[in-house]
Amino acid sequence: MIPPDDFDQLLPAFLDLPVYPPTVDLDERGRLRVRAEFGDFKGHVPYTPGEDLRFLDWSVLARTGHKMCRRFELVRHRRLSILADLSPSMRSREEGLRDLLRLFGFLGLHRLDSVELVTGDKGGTESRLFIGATDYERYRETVLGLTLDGGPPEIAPEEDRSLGRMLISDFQPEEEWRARLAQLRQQGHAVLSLFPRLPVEAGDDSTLWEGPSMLRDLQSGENLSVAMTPALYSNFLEEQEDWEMRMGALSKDLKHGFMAVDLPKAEHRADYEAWLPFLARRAETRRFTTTNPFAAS
Amino acid sequence: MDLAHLHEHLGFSRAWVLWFLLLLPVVFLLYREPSVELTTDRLGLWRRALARLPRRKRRKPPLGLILTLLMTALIVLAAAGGGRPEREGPRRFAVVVDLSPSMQYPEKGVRRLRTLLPTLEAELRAIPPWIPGRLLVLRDEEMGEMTRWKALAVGSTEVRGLPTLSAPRLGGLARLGLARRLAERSGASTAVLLYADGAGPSPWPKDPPDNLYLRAGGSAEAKNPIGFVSARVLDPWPGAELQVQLGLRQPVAKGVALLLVSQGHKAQQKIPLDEGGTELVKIDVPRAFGAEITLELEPGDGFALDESLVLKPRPAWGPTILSRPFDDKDLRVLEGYLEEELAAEVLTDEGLFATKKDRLLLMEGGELARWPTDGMPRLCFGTRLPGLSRVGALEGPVEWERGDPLLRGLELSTLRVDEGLRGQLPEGARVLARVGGQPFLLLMPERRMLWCATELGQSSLVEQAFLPLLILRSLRQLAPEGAATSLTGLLDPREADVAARPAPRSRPTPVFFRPRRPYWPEILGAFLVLLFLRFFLA
Repeated sequence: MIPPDDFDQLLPAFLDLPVYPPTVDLDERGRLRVRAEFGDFKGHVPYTPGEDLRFLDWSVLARTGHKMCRRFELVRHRRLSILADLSPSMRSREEGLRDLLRLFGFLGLHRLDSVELVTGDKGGTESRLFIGATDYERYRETVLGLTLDGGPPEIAPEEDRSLGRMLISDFQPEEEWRARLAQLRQQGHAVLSLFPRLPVEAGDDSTLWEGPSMLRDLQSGENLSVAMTPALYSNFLEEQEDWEMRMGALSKDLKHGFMAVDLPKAEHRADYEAWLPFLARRAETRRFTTTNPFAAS
Repeated sequence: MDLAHLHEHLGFSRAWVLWFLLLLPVVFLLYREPSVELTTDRLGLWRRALARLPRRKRRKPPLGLILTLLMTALIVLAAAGGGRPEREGPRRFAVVVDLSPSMQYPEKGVRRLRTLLPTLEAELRAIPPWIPGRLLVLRDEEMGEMTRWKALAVGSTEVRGLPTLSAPRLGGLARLGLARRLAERSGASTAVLLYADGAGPSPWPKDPPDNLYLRAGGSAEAKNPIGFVSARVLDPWPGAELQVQLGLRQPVAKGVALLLVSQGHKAQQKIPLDEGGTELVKIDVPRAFGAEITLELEPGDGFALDESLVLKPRPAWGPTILSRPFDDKDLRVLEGYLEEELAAEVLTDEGLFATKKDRLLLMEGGELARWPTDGMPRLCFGTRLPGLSRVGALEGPVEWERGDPLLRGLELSTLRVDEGLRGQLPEGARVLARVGGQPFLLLMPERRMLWCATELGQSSLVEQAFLPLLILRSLRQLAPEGAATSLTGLLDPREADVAARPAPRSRPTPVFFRPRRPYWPEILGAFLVLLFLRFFLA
């Protein structure tokens, strides 16, 4: 068992906030959740202690003074499907990826009914299902045991359940991902693409350095030797912003969602506010965002 | 700087220290800016960002590292004693300039010596300033030193003064062999630069030593047809005229004349010389023409040094003459002759004789009780002298000293004498003639006296032709001494050959000694500049 770290201790604090893992269409289905997930009204049964208070009929209690619980014939299941890109190229943001997976899994298991973790491993796409808040520890062990030497995950056909898909990747190479997103749309899937930005990609001045640099792409094995200068860095930030704009426009056209959010720096990992940009409020409709606050400055 | 000759400009006194340059790679490893490694999945974006940069901005030279390496290399170079190595060569030089008359020959209007000056100055300019030199001149068969050892700068006073050296004083030969002796005596450490024309009797040194550098100038076609080759003056002092005999190099052309100019141009006389005439010119010059007379051939051939002479006649004597007795007719004849010949003044008043002018006393008869001490010349005829006062008959033939300068060429055989004074011959007297074995004519230079044993009237002296000449010749020794007649300025006839000869071996200016010069000031300066840049960049 991997001992809990600061981030694990931070996670319960998110339960006090009205925040959810962001998805493209889970919110819309959530509005129908009472009828869709709990089925048609079947009748009342007396309340027994320990029963889920969500089924307590408050109007009967107010009218008669008796605690009665409602019963439904059909319950619709709410599942968060997290598709994680485990390509070697994701190693540069490995730490943030594991935190994000834990955060989304934790909230998904506590706010929803189940979490499906879909990863592209060496042998192909692997899907792991976690149900209920009590399954979080297993989920955590799984996330922390992932190795980034696989590839992008393949999406299985949609099942009959309320499903929100979230795809976490670096979306590189760009052309391949554009084709993959288009194919998903043709298959009728809608996903929320989430790009976790590193500080160096967000234009954080504290990450700027000057001098000889060796840029390594672990996936392709290519290296690029450059003399890092403010001019080159500024050009890169512009390219990064253009890329995010292109991805956002593409996702909009394909009716996908796209989010590019800054990963907190190491010293801010234990601060829950630093993670709020990755989450959605219940009342909000966050389809996608391309906001890059550093580039704007 | 030519790399092939780099060793001439760079050397090290401690070359083994250069091995420390091998530490430069270590310095490179220690001080190189470490490359920051970044793992990224945005390599495509980085490439695009790099492509948008101008090519010159894509690579940033590691100036800090380069400066550090340069500073390290400079420290090693300084520690290795980097500097310009010493160069062997002559450590001194001497410039020997031929100032013989031929160097004054006009080459197209410019004196030959002056035409060599640009070459001399260019050579001086090529000599390093730390090489001391001295300037010597060859003339009058001697080598004179114009400067001591010092830096002979271009345009220095001595060099500039060369062409203005007084030409008329150059009468003698320039012995070029003296320069050779100087080179041999000085050794290889001294370069001797000989500037000459090789003209005249002193040839270029044969097989000059290695440290003798010959610099020739002048035209081999130069000619000098007009000029004096000999000069002689015959001065019958105190006679009124001098005879000058001048030898010409060759008969002069028509129109050439001899010009006599007295000092200050107070008098001038032009004597035409016959065309195709003799090579010997004889002229009589009045002593009164001037104290300094210039004799010039006019027009000349351009080379004036052998066309001009200076004649300085011995000044005329011009004494005051007193005769005793003043009314003797024979003495009067002699007075008249001397008055005209010597431009003298004849006095009759005894009182006026005490003038400051030179005096001449003519005595006939009478007696001197003691030898006079007034230094006045005396011509005494039959005057009794101490020890010569006895009168006796003089019979027999006349004998005279034919080899004596006073009597040379004179004939005394027709002299007739009846009687005369006899006695003891005075000390220091020179017997010029005897009659019957008895002294008849005595010359006493110390007592300034010409003495004859008989009076004029008691012999045929007055009728003798030798008497005036004997008296004039005697007066030359009896009169007060004065400056002798001189005829100067005659060029050595061997110097009349002004055609220059090429030097047997002309070599370029030698490569002189150059002391070692360390480069540490430059290295220190460069190091400080690099250090400043290093801190500035940091």
